[in-house]
Amino acid sequence: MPKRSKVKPGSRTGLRRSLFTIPPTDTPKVSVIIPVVNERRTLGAVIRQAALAHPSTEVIVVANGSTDGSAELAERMGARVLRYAQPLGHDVGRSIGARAARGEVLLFTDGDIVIAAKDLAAMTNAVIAGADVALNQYLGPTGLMHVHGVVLAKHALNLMVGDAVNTGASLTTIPHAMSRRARDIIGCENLAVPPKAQTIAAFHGLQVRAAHYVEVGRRNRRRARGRVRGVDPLERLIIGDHLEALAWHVAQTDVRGRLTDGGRSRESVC
Amino acid sequence: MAARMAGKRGPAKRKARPGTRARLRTGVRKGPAAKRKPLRRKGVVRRRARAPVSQQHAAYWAGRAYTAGCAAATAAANHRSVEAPGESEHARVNEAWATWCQAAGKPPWTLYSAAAARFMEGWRSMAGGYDQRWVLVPTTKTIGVVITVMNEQETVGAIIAELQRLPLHEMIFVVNGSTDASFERIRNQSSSIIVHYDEPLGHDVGRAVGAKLADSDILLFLDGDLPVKAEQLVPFVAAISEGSDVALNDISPLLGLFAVRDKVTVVKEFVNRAMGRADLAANSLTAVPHALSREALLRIGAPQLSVPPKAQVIAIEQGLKLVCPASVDVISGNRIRSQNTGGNNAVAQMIVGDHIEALQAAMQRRGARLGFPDQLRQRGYIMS
Repeated sequence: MPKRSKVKPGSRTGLRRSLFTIPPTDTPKVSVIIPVVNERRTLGAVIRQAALAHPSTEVIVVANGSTDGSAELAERMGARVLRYAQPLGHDVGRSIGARAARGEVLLFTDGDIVIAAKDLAAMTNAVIAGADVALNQYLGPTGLMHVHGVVLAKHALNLMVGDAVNTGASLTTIPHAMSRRARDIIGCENLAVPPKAQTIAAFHGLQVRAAHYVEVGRRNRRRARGRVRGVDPLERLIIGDHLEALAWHVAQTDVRGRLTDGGRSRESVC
Repeated sequence: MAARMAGKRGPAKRKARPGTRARLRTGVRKGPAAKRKPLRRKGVVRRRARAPVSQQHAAYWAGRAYTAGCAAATAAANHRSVEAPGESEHARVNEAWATWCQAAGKPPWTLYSAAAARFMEGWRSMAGGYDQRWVLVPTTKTIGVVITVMNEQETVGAIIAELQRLPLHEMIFVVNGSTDASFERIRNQSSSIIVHYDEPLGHDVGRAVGAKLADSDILLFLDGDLPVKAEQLVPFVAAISEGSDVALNDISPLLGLFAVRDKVTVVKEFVNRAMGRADLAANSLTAVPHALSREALLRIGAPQLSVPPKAQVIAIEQGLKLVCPASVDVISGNRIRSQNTGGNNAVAQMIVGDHIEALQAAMQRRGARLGFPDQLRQRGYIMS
């Protein structure tokens, strides 16, 4: 059976007389950041749910390398659109969107997965309630003998940088939210490499909390582009991100990430 | 054929029935007598039932081994006069066994012990002087064992008893920080080399100390708290003897699903994957037993063995051959101490630290992202 879109063709945007528009506000409480590369099929629904997450919301769409009218659609719906002619690469849009955000809470999601407003609201509410960074509790498929490299990397990094509370929860997974203060401490430029951003947050003692569970695995579009014999190029990119994060952690601490050496007398053998 | 013969026999005007020749040639039988092949359903793959290691198979190897043992003992008896007097009977029979294994092929692991036992029986029938508990290894290279001991008086006896079943070149005990009778027990039960430190050396440093002293071709590493059957050590020795450099304990069959694994296992697997060796799963030099070749020891450097994951990363970087020849259950038998229980215990923290140190060593050589470059991101847009 062919996969059916969550958004039935014609049922929402088509039949609705007027397009949904985001209620305008000058001092938004929540900024929703949506990087978009040719995702017109789902973008309308994504923006609508995002706008409903909180009464005072601005939606920032970072359209990079989009040629299918995603940007125009977002503009008509009342989103702030930042346009880039060429694709910026994985997660760079988050970084750019975060820099432009005016809200006190930054909520990150993707243009290709429609997440219900109540799930998005759970993330923002966790931040409003006091967490600095609110993560999705979704860990990916872990009931396996051989897990995906991304799942493995997420778990391993959290263990290595001493974030034992959030077993495998990661900034790599959407949706997630953070306070503006967290953004400033982490630095916008670091948000493009999510595991690094998470490591920085943990290092500076920010409260990182896996706040709410949203299943995003099955809905994530499996992209054929760039696959070589089944090897997902994104898997390699994301494992690299985690190593980059670990390298940052080691540079800030020491070669063992400030973990105990168990009293080894290494000078006994040289 | 029949038709032609009939024609040759004489003027009998019997004509061959049309089609007979063709039928004979192709061997197609006709009529109801012809047995039909049962129809095979499409898509049903017939699998031949996998033959269990049959008794006949076992008997074959046992018989061969016995004969070879007899022959080897006879040959050895003829040359006894020229042999070195110091060599033990165990070493002699092992040498004969290794030679035979090389010539005739090593028996499959499931039959190995039985075949070796029959070989020794054959040997005894000709030469005598054989101990039923002996274990033979399929190599003539010298084997050394390094055992780290810290307050393990209860288990060292069993370890020595098992190790004495192997034809070892040297046995090195590194006793450190022991306040019990470990040292005395080892001294009384064996003639092994003992290195003694009053203070504890710390985790795994003893391995480095022992490795530095050893001069064998093949080095086995064990912990003092966990007796391993001598038979289970043979595959590790064999793997090194056959050209591998590092033989790790294959713990994969002992692990559950990813979701229920402990943190140390997760980190071990990540380091292997980050080093491009997903095939090693969560197998690590941290776990015993494992074996190293002399070459590996020299290339890695004995001091690095103090931090086993780092030694493993160096081995991979050096292009050494890492294999996982056998699986020894070291998880259920591991002694429970106050330090190594609970999710957040000190030993686990230390081992996680070891793995960070290991990755850091690789990063220093190959950059922060190791073999996983970022070619997609346009980072120029976000530099502040």
